[in-house]
Amino acid sequence: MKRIRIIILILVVFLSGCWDRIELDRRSFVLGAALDMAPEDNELTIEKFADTKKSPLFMLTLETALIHKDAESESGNGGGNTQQKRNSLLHTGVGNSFFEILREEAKESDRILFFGHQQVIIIGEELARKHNILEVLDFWIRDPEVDRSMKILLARGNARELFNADPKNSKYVSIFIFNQSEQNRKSAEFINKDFTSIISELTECGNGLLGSIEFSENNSLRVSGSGVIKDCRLVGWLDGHETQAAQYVLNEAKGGEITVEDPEREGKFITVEISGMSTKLKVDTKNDIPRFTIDTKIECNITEIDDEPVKIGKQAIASVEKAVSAYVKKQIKNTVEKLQKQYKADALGFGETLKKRHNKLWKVLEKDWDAIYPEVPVSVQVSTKVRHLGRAY
Amino acid sequence: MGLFRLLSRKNRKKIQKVNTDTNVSKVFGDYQGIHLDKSLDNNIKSIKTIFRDCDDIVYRPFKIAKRFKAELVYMDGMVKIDAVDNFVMKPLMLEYGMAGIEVEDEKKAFLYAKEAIISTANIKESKELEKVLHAIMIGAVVIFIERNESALIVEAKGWEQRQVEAPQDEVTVRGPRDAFTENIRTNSALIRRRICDPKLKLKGYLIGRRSKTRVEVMYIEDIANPRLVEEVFNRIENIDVDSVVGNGLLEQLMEDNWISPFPQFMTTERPDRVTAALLEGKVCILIDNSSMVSVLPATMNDLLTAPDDYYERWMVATLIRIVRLTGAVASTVLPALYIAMVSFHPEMIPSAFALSIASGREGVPFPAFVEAFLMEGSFELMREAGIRLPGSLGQTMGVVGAVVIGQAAVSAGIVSPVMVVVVALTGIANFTVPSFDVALSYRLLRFGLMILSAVLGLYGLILGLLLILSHICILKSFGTPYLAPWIPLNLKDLKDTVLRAPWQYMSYRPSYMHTQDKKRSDLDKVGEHLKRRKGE
Repeated sequence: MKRIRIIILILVVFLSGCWDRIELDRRSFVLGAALDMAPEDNELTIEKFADTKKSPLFMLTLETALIHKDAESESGNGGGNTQQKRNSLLHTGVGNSFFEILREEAKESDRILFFGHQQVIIIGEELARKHNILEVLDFWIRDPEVDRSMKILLARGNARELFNADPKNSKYVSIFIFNQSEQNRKSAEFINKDFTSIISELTECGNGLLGSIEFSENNSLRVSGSGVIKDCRLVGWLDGHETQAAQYVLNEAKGGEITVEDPEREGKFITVEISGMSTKLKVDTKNDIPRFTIDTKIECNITEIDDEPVKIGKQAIASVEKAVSAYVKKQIKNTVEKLQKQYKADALGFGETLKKRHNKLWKVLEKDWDAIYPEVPVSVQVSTKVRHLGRAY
Repeated sequence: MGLFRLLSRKNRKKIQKVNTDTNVSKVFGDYQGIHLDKSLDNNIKSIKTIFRDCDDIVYRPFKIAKRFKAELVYMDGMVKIDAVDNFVMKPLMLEYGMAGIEVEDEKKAFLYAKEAIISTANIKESKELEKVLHAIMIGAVVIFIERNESALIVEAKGWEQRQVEAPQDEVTVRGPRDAFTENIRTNSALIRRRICDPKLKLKGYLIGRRSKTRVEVMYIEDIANPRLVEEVFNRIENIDVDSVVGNGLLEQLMEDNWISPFPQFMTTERPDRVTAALLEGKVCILIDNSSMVSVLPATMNDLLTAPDDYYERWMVATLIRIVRLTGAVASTVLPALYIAMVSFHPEMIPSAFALSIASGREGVPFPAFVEAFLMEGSFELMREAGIRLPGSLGQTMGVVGAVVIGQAAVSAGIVSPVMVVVVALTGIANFTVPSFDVALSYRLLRFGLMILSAVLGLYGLILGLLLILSHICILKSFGTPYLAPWIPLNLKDLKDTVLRAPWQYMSYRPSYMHTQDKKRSDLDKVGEHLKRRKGE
């Protein structure tokens, strides 16, 4: 009896095993996905939907890694040759749901699409404006295989075109974009948020900022600025400068540089680098009117002075601090105003703050918040402290 | 397990106690109780009958002081012949030996020969035939004298043997360079020289129906747990084989769990290791004709420590131990982990690395686990061949093997380059394990884990590891938990595990040994050693 039990135990292991074994070289690594509206005059569209007169909704483009044995060595041997061999494949398809398109694209490949190493999702401008982003991303949210640390970015224009870019340093466009997003430590001008935090942010209130990406010179790419999301739809863009200000308010800026005119010498500039900052968003609800105060404290180092080497005295430092404060204050004020008046999008979490701090008042105002928000008074306070002056010579 | 118990119970009934070398009954049971005869000729005749067709026995009839008939019998090759010539034969045969002594008859001659003439340290007389036979077999010289009912047994053992040499397998950088030899007496002396204490006890047995191999148990009386010592005696006494061919056989007959892949003894060729173990309250078993000494009980922790840990300073020693522990784990798990990740869970590999593994695997016709088995298999082949090859060829084999199997297999497209790295790492990691026995178990388990992870992925690997862990959690070596002091956890004893604490903090012996004398020194109070140095 005992022997039979042991045999059954061993059989169970071997009979139930192996079912999801797929060798690494039988998988097709999806590195990036570009989501667009299906263009009406596209060949694919016309061909596929010739019978039905309805045109399809979406177009999906996948970048998959082209794996062949000599891929590594060939590109290595290229040396001075700038004409790098392309290492990725693009698949494009149209359909009414992304899963449908994926299945369609799988037919063309001898391998199984694998999303475990996906780096980016890029959403085209048109799609983002017309459709709820959460609904668009539904497949990726549901799929357990998806890497939750990937980036979601908005394209200024067509998302698909971006995969035709030729970043000189990288073999795969998607990995290039991923790594570029990680550079936000050095500059607050772009937004680095991963899949999980974006999804939770959008499900919570539907407002926020998403990083944006566009072509730069030399057919390369640049991650800069951000798209303003209101009710899970794109409503407008912020440029790099404004994004920086927004990140100050959101307390997410980890670095970045500020160049101000030297308060003592006209036409000369002083550049400081932010080494630390913290922002408190305060709400005052006197007379049941919410009033917001943005209180920003900046610590920075002087990195460059546009002049002959000079000794900086206490007074000079104080005036630099003052100039930086004024500059940042103006920057924040402009951005907040743009969000309030132009886009009417509560992307900086004012509503959330009110909800957390003064829940009773929030419950009264919640229904009309869209109307109230653009008129809410916001005041900005900035204080700056210069910590280091750099090496004296 | 049950089978073994059954066997040993059976044996227990069959065998009576076989004790120490003075009691050789049962050993030459056939001749038990037979006494020697008065007549020299009869005695020699019966000896010759017993040893018929044994042409290496030497009989030498002679006359003591030219008068009394006597005969000398010994086994050729096992006796120091110079000593016998100079200190036995010469004084007996030449008259000057008897000068000034009035020897009336053979009885007196016997007495004088024993007390005054033969000048060797170890001399006995015996009337029993079996003792005489035994003496001849172990290399003593036996002298029969006419009209005497007893014979003189002169100890003069001596044969060709290996000198004490440097250890072959357990090499250290700073430790002493002497290793055990095949001679049990040399081995016990190597240990005795290190522990100058009459409490260091040695108890001898003769084991093996035919081989009569000398087996000795050494322990320190007031440190070792008496129940442990008793258990060792008990198990040794119940061994019934016709020949003890080495430590391995004895260990396998004595161990708690013969179905376990893990060794339950620590086998070492280094006297310093044995000494350290004895001082921890352990018991060691020496076997004649074996250059290894078995130490028991063994824990996993013991098997993963090397003597160098104690010779180096504590921080370095701790680092080395961490390296070794990593090596032990890697040598068991690494190929299985590779299979699981490549075949089942590619999302766990960093993206860039996954891409490069994938491009390396492109064109490899086999799934990852076949690839791994091929490489691990050929590595084991090379290893086994390496042992068997003549010494001068061994080095060449290593190079050829590495080049042929590694480089050529990759360029032939049989395996991927990463697999070669994994196999090489695993192989090297396995050599960091200081105990050869436990390294072998890791090698064995590696294949089991590889199969499991080929079938069930990471899930199977974890399943296998849990199985191993639960096994060694219940495994005991002579009543000591195999994972002590981790399981059961004893925080104080952790000072000598991954961390090798400074000597000042090692003043207690490991508590899981339940020693009688618990303390090594009084340096356990913080700063005590500094105070003493200052003379406070």
